Amino acid sequence: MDLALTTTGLRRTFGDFVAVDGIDLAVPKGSLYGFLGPNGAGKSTTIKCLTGLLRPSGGQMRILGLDPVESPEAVKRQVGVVPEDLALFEHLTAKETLAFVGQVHGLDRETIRSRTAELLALMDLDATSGQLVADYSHGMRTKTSLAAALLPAPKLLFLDEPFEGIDAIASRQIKDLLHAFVLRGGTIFLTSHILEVVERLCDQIGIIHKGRLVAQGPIEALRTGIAGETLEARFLKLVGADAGGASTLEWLSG
Amino acid sequence: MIRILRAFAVFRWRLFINSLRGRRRDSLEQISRISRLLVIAIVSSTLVPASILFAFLAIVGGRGLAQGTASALPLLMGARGALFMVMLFVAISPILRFGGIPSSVTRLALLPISRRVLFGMEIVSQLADPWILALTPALLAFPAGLAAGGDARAACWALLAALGILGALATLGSAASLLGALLFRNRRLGEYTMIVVLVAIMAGAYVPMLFGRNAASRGRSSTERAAGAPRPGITIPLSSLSSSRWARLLPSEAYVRALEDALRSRTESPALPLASLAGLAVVLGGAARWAFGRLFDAPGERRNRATRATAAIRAIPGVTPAASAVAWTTMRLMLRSVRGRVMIFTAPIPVLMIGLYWRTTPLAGSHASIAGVIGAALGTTMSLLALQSVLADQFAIDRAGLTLTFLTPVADRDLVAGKAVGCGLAAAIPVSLSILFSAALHPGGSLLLWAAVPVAATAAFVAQSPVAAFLSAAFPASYDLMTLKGGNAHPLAAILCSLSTALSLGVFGGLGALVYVLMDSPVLALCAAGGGLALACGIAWLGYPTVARVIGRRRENLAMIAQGR
Repeated sequence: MDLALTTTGLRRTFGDFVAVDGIDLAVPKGSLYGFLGPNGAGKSTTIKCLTGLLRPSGGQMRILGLDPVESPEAVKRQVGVVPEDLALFEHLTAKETLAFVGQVHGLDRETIRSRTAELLALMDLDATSGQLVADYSHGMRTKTSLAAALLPAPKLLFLDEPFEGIDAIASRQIKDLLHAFVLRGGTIFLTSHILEVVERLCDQIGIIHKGRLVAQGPIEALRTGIAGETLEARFLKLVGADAGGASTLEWLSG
Repeated sequence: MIRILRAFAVFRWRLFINSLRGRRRDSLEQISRISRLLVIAIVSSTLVPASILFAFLAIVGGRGLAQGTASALPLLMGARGALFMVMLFVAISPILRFGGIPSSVTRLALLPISRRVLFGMEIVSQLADPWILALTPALLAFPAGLAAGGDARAACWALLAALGILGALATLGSAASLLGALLFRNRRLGEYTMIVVLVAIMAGAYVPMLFGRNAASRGRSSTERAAGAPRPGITIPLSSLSSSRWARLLPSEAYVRALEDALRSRTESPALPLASLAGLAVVLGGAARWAFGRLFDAPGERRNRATRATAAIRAIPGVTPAASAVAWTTMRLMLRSVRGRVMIFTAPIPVLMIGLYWRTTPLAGSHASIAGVIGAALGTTMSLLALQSVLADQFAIDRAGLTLTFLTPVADRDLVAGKAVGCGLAAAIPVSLSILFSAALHPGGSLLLWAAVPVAATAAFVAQSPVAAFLSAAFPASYDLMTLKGGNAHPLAAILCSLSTALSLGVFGGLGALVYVLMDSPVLALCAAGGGLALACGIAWLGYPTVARVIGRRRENLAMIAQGR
């Protein structure tokens, strides 16, 4: 199998706290890989290590055949990232943000202009392209960040919780875009804690819990592993969650 | 009502206490926390004794006036000055606080409290303003002193005047704060207002210098001026304020007039100035109520700021496209952020004002012929020093944008070069304005000497740029240029950066100046400045790779600190 991303014993610690504890990821090329886990499981730390925002404490990584620690710039030329906090310049407009990204990727002026116009139209941002990002809603920021990630035509896309806090219309637009990206041969590594999103979108899945990878493989294989069990039930079992622990709050009344 | 008052008092107290706490307990956070406590301690240690002293003077003065042993003039002059200053602070501080809007308006609108009660709370809370609080004991002590001296009638009027001025100040504070909040909902309008206010304050600081000089000049005869007779001392005609019609509208003037009328004779009634004070309070209260209503009708409404989406994709000669992109982004941040604009556009003001002053008081001796060049050099120095806080934290000012930069294939050396070029372009604006102002006001002198000023300034900036970049990478601090309250550069980095800039200006500016003074040749002065620039480029060429290595090691910390984590 041709792999876009692999890690071996990837580890990241913060003092005594082990956020990522020796995980071995294998993301096939042309797949939409869903990286699932409860809050605080280590999803964002893993993606930050993969995208060069955090230096791993141990282990190896290969992204599109390159070591991101050895050749960070070469890797960054081939990947696009939508980080958890979207990471945008507040004082730029969407158009200026895309121009900045295009320029640092070394794209020529005409390519930047045409791709920017196309992406802004696709994301419904063309009408508001004169506003500063500081004045954008969360959904508009997410779309701007996604447009910035797509502009250099990456081979691999990292998306950290891309559907967090956005409306159904924007969510649908983004999902369509991601499908089209994968159909054209791109690879997506997506983190989420929303099971439905991962189940509907992804063909590969990895489940992380307390910094350890507890399951990985094609989504169908995970489903058929235990007959009649839903992905949600499988996920809850893997992360050892107690579904029936809610307090009764008797003082609440309709 | 009492329950709500108590809840609000606890709420405000917790906000104050929590503002002193730090989330982290590392050395930087500790220093920051201690410095905040120190500021509060210094303000308290000066305000509290001053307040007690004012109250003591007021009670002694009131008693003396009632018994006819004290003169009313110094007391009323003191009251006039102090009240005028407090009034100014109360009116301007909401604008300097970037709106002064209590951010909890939306939260308050959700609580089961009537709008009338909330507005009452807003007015009452203004009395807790430190300046008003410091003056209140003196305002109340004065009628007590009059009563103690046996003049019950004047004491009653003075008490009414004290209540009137407190009401007027509270409504003035509310009106300024709420109208400011309304104004700042339109971000662009708010930002321009604040810049205009800051520029006006800065320019206003130089007015007494010009005014005093002009008044003194006008008062002297031509023979006196020709004989070089000593100038009389500058007198500020404070008493003339009360005579002008517009000044009578000020709450401080209405208060003093009420006291004057109450003290002057038993036949004259202070009712009229008191009525004007009450009228002012009603008008200001009405304006505050109107703004309060508008804010509550649409608490979350905010007019967005459209800007010219130029999306310039221009390469800067001599640097890579990536460094150009970083430079343009830095330049845009400086021009679009509140603090960036303040730094850029207030820096040339002193040069303008000093230039105007030199037109009325020309420099002595041979310097008079190069007054413009001296002004330009002074303006250049001030402009570069004004940008120190940005230079000392040039990476963290990008905030979340720095993470975006780190996610793109920008090499560390391109980031350093791009930042230096961007900061240099931003610095070029106040430097150019300073030179333009100086040239317009004092156009004399050799063109070559004029040219030496920007060349020497560029040399000083370029030589110092690796130091500033190193300090920014070594001591980053969360710094938001978009608001006035958004942190600041690390104090150590800011101090060291300022010192290195001063040193660089001294060396490269001093080199040109020294050559000119010794050789009296503008050509050689320009050559010296040019040689300095070549040397500075060499220093930068050697320094940038070292700084790039530091950034490479500190990327993780820089990105986190830039986002305030």
